[in-house]
Amino acid sequence: MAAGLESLGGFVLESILFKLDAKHAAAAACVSTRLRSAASDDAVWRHFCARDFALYDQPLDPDGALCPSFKGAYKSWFGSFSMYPLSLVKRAKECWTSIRCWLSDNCPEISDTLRKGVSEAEIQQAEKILGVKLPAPTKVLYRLCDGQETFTTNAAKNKYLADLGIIGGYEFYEHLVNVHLLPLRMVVSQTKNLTKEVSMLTMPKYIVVAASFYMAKFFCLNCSSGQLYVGTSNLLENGEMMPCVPGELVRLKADANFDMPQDALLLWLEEHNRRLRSSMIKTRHPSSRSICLFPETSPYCSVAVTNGVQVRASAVFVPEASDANGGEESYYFSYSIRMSLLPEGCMLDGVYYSSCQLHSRHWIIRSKDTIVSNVHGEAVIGQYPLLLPGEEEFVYQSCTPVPGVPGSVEGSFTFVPGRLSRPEGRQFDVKVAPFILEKPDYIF
Amino acid sequence: MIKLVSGDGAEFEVEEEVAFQSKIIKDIVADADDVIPLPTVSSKVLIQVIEYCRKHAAVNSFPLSPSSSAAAAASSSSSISYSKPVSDPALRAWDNEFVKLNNSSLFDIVIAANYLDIEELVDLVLETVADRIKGKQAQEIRRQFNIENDFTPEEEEALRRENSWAFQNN
Repeated sequence: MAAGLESLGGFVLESILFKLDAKHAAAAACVSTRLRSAASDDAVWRHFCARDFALYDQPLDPDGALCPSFKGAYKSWFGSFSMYPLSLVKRAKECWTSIRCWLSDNCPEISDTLRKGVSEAEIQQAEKILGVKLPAPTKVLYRLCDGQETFTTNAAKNKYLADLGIIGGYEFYEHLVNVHLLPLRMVVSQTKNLTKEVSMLTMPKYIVVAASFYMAKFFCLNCSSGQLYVGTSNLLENGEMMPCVPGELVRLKADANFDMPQDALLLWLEEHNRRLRSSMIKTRHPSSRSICLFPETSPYCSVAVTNGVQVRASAVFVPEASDANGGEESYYFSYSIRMSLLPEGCMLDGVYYSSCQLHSRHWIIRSKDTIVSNVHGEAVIGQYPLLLPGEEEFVYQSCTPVPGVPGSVEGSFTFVPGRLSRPEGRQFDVKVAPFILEKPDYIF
Repeated sequence: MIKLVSGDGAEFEVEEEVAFQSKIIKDIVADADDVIPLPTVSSKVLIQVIEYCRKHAAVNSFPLSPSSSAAAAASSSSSISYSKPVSDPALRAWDNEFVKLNNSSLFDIVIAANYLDIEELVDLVLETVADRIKGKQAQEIRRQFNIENDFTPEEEEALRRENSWAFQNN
């Protein structure tokens, strides 16, 4: 007898079903009892759940409830998300899952602020109030997670929440920034507030999707182009903003080469996730709850060791203090310096010292190979850190504007072995290896 | 040379690199002789399988010319090298011609290829069969594969309800 579809072994038949779309497998189940039995095997649906919705391990529905089978879970996801390209749903879900996992491993307090997704109806209502059509990737992201629970009616709670933005931030002098992804109801209220203050933004295409609750820092999604913008120092004056994601990556329509749209919010969150995953950025100290945007890895972070003193240094672009119109303060950067005495202590001229203390600093700041600042001064931010072997890093932040990029910062710290009050040997210079000041591809 | 013997007694002499497209044959040859009986494979099917293996052996050996072998070795050092024919458009086109066969011939080949453990051929045929199912309704699939509808009308109605989610708005 000639071989037929139905007489194929279970493995072969199952392999064929694996290659189908779920809806084609559902059609195949209606063909005959043999095919119905093959297509109702939950292994097939487990495969579809993983392939189409990045749903592994357990058959959970979109609300996180356990379904009796993977087929049940698939139906539930499909019913809830089939208005979007499944590849987009999967991609957005993978992005959120990865961010959530990192957060629950590294700062569970932040993970606890993430909200459940909103319904399609809630999205339509927000669109109606704001008078915009949200790009599909942004809608899917909000369907999966409604930003963060960041603002309550309780002032003490708000103070606790203020440091817990999933995007994170930085702090130098009085400038404290920590960026949260807003829940949809706050997207609505913040967009209304900002358009009231900034007449340039009254065109109804911009919506505020992320913001800091200390310093004014706003990320606005342009719903027509799909690009994400961040306000500069001129935001409130003339609505000046700069793009946060490489423009060539943003596209709102699928085409022959790409099967799904990708807007800047999705690309931005994916890049943020990559940076968290690669340890390029982390929480500041093991004890700190907030995400710190100063890079920790090469080549963005420079490292030099002199006489046992290690100095790590990196900079972050500060868009909300920059001025896209040019001028002396076009590009504003904050830099973070982390200094420590290695466990083997301070060695100078063959002699061991069990401590050393900073006396002064020397900075050379370049903008496009031109020295724009050459400063000698005592102390750092008014302090004379005393370093002991193997102790935690002394960390401080400062800032500098440069007229053009790329720029760089390098310099040295003058230390004395022992203590400033009782030097035990000659002064020595500790190198700060150059680190780059560059306007980044992705701005956070 | 390796001698393959089909279920109906036909003998085929093939080069090692052709026969070794089959992982099973490779394993057998490693600890036995060079005459390999394949009682479940008919000569008609074996001819087709050998044709496929000959083509893929030729193309797969080609990238290992002196100039590119170092790069290939570097890129595949961690795993047993199993070439990716999809990356070669000419081979892809050849594959597409190869599978222009009726369903029962395809099923015979996939059973043989599965038995012989020729991963790429199994995958190629299953992909082809899946393409013939995609986008069709149950009745069209029955016609395509000559399958009898053995459901009662009640069962059919139950299936329609159970799977209605998949048939909306597409």
